[in-house]
Amino acid sequence: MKKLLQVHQVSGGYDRRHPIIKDIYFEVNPGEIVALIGLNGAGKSTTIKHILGLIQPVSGSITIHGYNAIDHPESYRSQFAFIPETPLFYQELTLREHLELTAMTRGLDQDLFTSRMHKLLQVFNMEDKLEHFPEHFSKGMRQKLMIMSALMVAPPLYIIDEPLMGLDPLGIRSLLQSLEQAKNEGSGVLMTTHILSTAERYCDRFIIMHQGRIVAHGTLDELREQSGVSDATLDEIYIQYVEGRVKP
Amino acid sequence: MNSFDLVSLWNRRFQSFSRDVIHYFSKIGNSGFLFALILLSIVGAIYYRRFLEWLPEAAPIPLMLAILFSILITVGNLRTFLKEADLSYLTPLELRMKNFFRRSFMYNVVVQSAGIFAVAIIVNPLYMGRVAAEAISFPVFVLLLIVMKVFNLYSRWYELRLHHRRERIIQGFMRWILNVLFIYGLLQWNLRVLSLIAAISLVIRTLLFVSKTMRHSGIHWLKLLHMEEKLDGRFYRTVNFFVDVPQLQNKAVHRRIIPALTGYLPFRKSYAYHYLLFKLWSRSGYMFGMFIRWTLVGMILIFLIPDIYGEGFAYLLFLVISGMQWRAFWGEFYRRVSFQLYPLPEDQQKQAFVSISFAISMIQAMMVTIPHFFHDHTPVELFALPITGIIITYIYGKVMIQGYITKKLEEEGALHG
Repeated sequence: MKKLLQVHQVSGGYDRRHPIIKDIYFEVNPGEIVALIGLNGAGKSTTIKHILGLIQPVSGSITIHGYNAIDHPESYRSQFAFIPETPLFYQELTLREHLELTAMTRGLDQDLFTSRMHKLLQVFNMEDKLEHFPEHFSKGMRQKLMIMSALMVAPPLYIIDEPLMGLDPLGIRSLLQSLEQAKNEGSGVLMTTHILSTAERYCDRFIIMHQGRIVAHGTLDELREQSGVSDATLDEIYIQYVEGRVKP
Repeated sequence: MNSFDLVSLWNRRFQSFSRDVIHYFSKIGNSGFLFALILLSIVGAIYYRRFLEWLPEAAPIPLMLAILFSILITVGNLRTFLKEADLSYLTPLELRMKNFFRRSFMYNVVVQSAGIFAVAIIVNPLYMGRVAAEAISFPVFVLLLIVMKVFNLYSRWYELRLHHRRERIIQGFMRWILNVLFIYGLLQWNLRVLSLIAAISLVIRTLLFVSKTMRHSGIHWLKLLHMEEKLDGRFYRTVNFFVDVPQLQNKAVHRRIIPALTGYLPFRKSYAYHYLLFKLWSRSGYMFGMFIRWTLVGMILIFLIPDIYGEGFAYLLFLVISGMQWRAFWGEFYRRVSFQLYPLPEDQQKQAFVSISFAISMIQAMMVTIPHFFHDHTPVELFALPITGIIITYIYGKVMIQGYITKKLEEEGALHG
């Protein structure tokens, strides 16, 4: 299978002398949802920032479809859409304008934009908010704006930081269904989350980070095998790892 | 925390605020704009004299002055030096914060009285020439204005405890009416009884009001914080006009019509930055507001100056000052856009910025020349102004701004490279 995202032995952080993440390696393939899990401060967000190209690794490399962020920034960025934990938006733009801008930056034609927009508005129950300014939105609605912008692009790779925070139950369902659909259409998804019960149900593989390193990775079955408890939930496995009861 | 700590907290906040003010004013002093402002005041002074000569005998100057000063006295935001985090840390100490707020109050008294004094000095020639004969002597007038200002601030401080905007407006309006009467009486000395009545009513009303609100309500923290934010915003925006202010958070205004002009842009990747930039500009409370204000100021200046040389001078000054704002806006645009990870060539930011700012500047430069065509000029003079405008705007927009951005981007690249 063609590699979508490849993170190869990456170490890095904000200070070259004190890397926050060390020797991170994993990949995301087309058609799979991968969860990156870990405690607060485990290095998830730093890893994401490296993948986004916002921080350059001290060592190691990151490629998406073979492109890297330094040599081909434009092609690299075209491969993914990012949904941040804290919604980023322009207070000057309406919901429609945000979607329109996203479509323009990705070179979508106007008809495709219009049809995708209407579908997304319906799925996320935001039809009556189209001409509103996100400044007046709740946290959950702002999050929906970010999600809709990402889905508008339909990129090969979705990078999602804590997607479920602040969303109402219907929003969570719509997001997870949309991601499954994207997966079935061949996109890959990398998401960080603390909500392990949901991750367990929707994600194909898991990467457990602790203190800047990957301590375990694999499917749920593989993780159960490694931890030696055959019917453990992801929650239980995860806690075993971060409490150091299972050695990586 | 005892009350001594609160006072030292106030002192620290005041010091850091003063440092900020001094820092930015020294930057402005060094930036060369001071020179433009001095020139502008010289031109202003010349035309102020002409304006005084032109002012018809019948103009109701006492009333005009009464309205002007009554507004200055009635309105006024109070800087309290509160911060948002105080909502959780200081609210329990509200009853012990008397000294903290007293200091803030004194600060406002000093600053706002200085403002009144400055306006009074500007108005002095008008006062001496046109109202002095029937009015109270000028120094006493200024002194009474300042006393009145302090009293109004005192009242306003308690009005700010009211939770409903409507109530605050009603109280402010009542004060305003009394202030108009008071000042009008000073300027028409035969009506001085008016001042006396207004002053007595104001004192009684305020004392009653204060004793009532003091009994029933505490400080309206949210309102005070909001006001602080507004004052900071105003300060930084003013400074930002001359030098870059990183912490400037621009407030958006939700306009509909002008921003919709992006509908005429092609729906293409290469116009994405044009689209974004125009939306940001046209909904920016500051940039668009400045555009309108400067255009009006420019048109009025050109209208008031009848001779071609005066017009030309004012026009050049206008083009230079008005053009400067784009530099600061580039900084803001770049800061906000560069973290968005758009899959677009970096060069496009610059292209979009140069073409949008050039188009807007050109429209403004042409609008300002409109009053020029109502003056009596030879055909050469008639077209000299707009042609100058086109040339200067072209040089400024396509050469200088372009160069400025290229330099900034290189600096940025060197920083991260």
